[in-house]
Amino acid sequence: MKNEEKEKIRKNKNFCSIFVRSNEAQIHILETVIGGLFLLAAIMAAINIAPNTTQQDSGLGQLELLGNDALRSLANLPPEKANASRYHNSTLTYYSVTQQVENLTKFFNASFEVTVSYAFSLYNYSSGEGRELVFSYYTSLPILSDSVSCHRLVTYKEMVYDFRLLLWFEPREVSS
Amino acid sequence: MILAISILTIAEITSTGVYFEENDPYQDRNLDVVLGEVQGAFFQTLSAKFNSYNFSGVTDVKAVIYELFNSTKEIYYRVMAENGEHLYIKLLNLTISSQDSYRVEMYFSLSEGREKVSNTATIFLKK
Repeated sequence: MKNEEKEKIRKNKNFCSIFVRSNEAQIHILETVIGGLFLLAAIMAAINIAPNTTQQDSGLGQLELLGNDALRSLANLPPEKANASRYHNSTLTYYSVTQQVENLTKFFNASFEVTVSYAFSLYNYSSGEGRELVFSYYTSLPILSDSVSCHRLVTYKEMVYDFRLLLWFEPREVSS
Repeated sequence: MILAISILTIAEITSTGVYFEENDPYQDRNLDVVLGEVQGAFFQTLSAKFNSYNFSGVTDVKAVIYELFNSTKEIYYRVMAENGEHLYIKLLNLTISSQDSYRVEMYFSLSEGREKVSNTATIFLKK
């Protein structure tokens, strides 16, 4: 009788130890799975994380700044010709009001790399009938979704003009 | 697991680093500068309109200034709105500073997205 009881207790102990071992194994598996998921997430994050979009946004942001800088420097540049001094001492006003598209393209070609295409237009807001397009120029058809726009107010006498410059990444044809 | 967390942390730091490194030198254009440009252009237009106005027989010069101010303001509102910028201009004070000179004090505010700058400025219009 005693032996039988002892045997029973021994069997019971064995069963419990199997159960404990099985629990440990499950925890190990769970840990491995969680670790794997972390690793996967880390790799995905390392591959996909911000740089792609940031680089693109940053590129367009830089383009916008370049455009604004170009317009600002053109506006702050005194006109070369002595008789152009009446244009508020600004080359942008002088070129815009006298519609010197060739000189404007020369300036923008020198300002932007050949990988950048551009378009510019001048609108008159003082005509009394909303805005009126005075002239426009395109190096090629603009990609509107991926372009940035900069503008600068041009005033001449009592007229208000808006000079708009559109920039986007696309190699432009360089005229020799 | 430790390796995974390390990679994740490094990736996070690198991405943040790239973001700031590429954007810091090229922060958004300074709205203050744009506001200064708008103010300058507004003054030029207002002065030009005032100078070309025929004042013969006009007794109320202040009323003329109000009229010119409002018509100029409308033009500038329209230009800025079409470019995604919100401009607000208000005439704060208009006084006669000398026999034929008028002091116009105005408030300018310009906003683009969540950024906003404002300023008060004064010009003198002389008949």
